[in-house]
Amino acid sequence: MSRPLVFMMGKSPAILPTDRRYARNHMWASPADGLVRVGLSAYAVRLLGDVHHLDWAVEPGAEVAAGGQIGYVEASKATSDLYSPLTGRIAQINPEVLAQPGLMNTNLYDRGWLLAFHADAAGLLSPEQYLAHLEAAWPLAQRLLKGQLGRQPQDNL
Amino acid sequence: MPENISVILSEPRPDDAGVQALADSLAGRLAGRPGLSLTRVPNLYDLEPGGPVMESIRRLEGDLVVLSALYPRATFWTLKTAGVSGCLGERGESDERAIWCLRLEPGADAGEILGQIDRIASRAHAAATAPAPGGQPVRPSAPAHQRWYPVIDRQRCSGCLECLNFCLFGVYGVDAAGGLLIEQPDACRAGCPACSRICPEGAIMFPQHVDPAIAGDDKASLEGLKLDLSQLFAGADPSVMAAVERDRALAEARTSEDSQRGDQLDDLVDEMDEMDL
Repeated sequence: MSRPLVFMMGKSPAILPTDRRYARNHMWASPADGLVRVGLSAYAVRLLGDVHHLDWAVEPGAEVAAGGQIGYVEASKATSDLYSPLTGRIAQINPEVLAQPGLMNTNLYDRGWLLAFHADAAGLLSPEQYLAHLEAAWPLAQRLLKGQLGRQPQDNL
Repeated sequence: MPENISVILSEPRPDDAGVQALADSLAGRLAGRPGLSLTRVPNLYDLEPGGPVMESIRRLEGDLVVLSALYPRATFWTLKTAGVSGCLGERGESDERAIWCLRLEPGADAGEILGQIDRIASRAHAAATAPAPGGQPVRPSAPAHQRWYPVIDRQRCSGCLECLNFCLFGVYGVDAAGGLLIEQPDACRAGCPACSRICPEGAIMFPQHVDPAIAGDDKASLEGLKLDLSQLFAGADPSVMAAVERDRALAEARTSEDSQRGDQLDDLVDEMDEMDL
């Protein structure tokens, strides 16, 4: 495998292996056993912090569309709904990461995979394209987060 | 050696009307109480660290009891940041004096607080009779303006500098030893607790924030401070994200009564117009 790409989130590096493709919603996709395994990128995990809860709204066999909501993650810094990076049929849910969500922090590109799809990942971004996407979106992502952080409870506009 | 203990009563802000009556009641019952020396000062959080009132507090000797509408942790670290020496509650091993911080909260019983002060005074070992401090036992006038800045719990702060990287307003800096410095506290955007939420150690307090976890309440959980990343993880296009942010900024600007804050938001929207999204 060639050297991974690195996106600097401030002073913190987000490592992007080059042996897989990436979705704009910050998930990676990699072929495995005739399926496509997906998981969260280091960028996403860095924003989340320590993951301690994972919940799926779908089951194996479900047909999902790219962008459809499929689950929910809760971590030390943030929570988020999870969205499908691919259009296809869900083949497997990783039971190991359900039992130990911390694998998303400690082994996010291998044992920390989330789901396996019957799907075609060719339409996703190359690592270089994903890096460019992160670089373009980072200033706005920062502002979006800071805006959310700075909002007062009484300012629910 | 006479055992005397200084009691500092920090005036509630005008919008803390719920505790003003409590403060006045306590002041009346503490004045002239044996073994205690009462000082009423303007709201501690609003005081300038280099000002005469804080200087008079720094000069006090012996253990302190501080009554304030702030949470005790926020009161303590506000004083520490201003250079007042001491340990929170019990004396430390270094024989530093104790600073007992009691919170004036709405509905609190003045008699119960007096009982706490009496218990503290009975076990205090002040070095000597406390000199008359700079404040007055009469109700002081309010400071010229209400401040808004972060107060750091140095026992929690790990020095990771995430706040420095995160703050948009130049509040934080680094001292000569590489440690976190509140370089420009008054550059902080009024009402913004962002760095408090991002701090991995929960070390940053905004004592006047409505959320107890941000204001320094030890019992409040940081769990409620989490970001919702759903918008980012939905894979929104940057231009969509920008539109969302712009809409929010515009709505905020329309409702803002603070002209300075409005100017900042206008600048933000102008800046986004120039991004050619």
